[in-house]
Amino acid sequence: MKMLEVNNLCKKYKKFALKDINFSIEEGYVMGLIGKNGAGKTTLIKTIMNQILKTSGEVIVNGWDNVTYEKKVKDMIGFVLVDFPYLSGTTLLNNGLLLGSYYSEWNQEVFIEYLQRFKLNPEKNYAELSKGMKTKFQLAFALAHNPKLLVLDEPTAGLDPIFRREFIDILCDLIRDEKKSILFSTHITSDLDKIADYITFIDKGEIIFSDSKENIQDKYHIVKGPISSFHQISNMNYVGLKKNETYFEALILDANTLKEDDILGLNMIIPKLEDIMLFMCNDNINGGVSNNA
Amino acid sequence: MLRLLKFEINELSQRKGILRICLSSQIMLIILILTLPKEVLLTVTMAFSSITSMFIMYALDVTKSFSNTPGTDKRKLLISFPVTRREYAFRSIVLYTAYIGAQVVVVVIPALIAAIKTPGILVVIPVLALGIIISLGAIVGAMFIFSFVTGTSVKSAVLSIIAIMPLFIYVGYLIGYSSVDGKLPSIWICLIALLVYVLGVFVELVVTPRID
Repeated sequence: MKMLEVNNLCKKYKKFALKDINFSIEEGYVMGLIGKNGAGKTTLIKTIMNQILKTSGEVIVNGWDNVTYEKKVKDMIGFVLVDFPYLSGTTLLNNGLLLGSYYSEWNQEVFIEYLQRFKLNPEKNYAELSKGMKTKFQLAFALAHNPKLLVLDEPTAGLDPIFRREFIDILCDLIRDEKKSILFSTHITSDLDKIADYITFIDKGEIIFSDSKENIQDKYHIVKGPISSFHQISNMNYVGLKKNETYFEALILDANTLKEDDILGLNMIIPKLEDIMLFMCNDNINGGVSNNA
Repeated sequence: MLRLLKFEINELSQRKGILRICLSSQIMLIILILTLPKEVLLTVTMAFSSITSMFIMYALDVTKSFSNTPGTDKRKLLISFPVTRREYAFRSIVLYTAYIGAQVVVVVIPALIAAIKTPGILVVIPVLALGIIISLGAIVGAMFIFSFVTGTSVKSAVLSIIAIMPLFIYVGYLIGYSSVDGKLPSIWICLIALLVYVLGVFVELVVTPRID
């Protein structure tokens, strides 16, 4: 069963547009959403949550259209957003009491338990929290209404390494019952290496790829070698290239189809998500090199 | 919808200090009316009504940004939760119209007491009350329209007051001269105010939910 389906989604602004976005998340799986700043990740998330209105296309959450059944869909989504303003003039406890009442499955006791687990004082004012504490609060709030889909926009940015690890562990616990799904947007791709089942890579408002992590690791490889061997990759399907007078590195697509002779004298390694992002997004790396992908 | 109004009442209950100021201003006003001489009664009534209404305005969050975060208002916050844009529009209309009602109460109760005490100023009272209702009704309508145009509540409140200033001046003129000839606001100014209010409600309810 698909927990989230995004079909032909478009959102047009004067200077930016999300173009024909298609991807889906199965129940119990984690989708990582990666891309550089301004790529459209937050716009995509806000459109999924119907915080901003789409221009065309559809978003289906657990079988329900996010516009026609707006309340039902929002009731199923827990979110952690960048600098999201809860009620800044009141305590964390009151934030739970006031805003939690909108959710059909809100549990104030669970909320307080999570606040204590995250070492947050329920009597503290929301405005007094640090950035990291606000993220912890948002997570506690999101988990207290038993969401089917968790939407996380840069949740680990600004968190200390200890809580970052704890955060990932909590997410691992959550998906253990295979009933909840997570859409996890982040720059810290190492978090996704640990938890994501699928990766969607977005750039300039378009999806570059959306695939399982295993397939991505099968498809992409980094080939390194001395510049004298550069001619060996001329027939390869490379999507990113970095070179200087002495050596080169290239991100190769469909590397599993290469023969041993093709890569003789070259080093071939499996890239991390960060490497893929770097090769595909960084104009300085690709600068002046024709992309024959 | 009811949940949203309950939320507002709960939120309002957090502002106990403001509510206490509103209540004590009202009590103070009534005491002043009962004790002050007739000559200064009108000035004091108007001054205190204005001050109290400002506190009510603040308490009901008519102009203040909800989260103290620039560019973020209540609408943007609440539509992230299981609240539809249409529900939020209803909430705004009910809340801001209730604001007019609260203002009327603030003006009418002391006015009635003043009228009982000194029948000579009776003619001023309905003009004052009606004038405030007209102005506020128009301001609320204009706020919805400017909120649609500008997107921020503080800016829209300022623009609305500037836009409705001629109406204020007219009402002030009427209040100033009402003690002489007992003139009430003419029907056309009431209709203009009503039209602005209805147009504002239409914008808030139908147009704004369809845009970002």
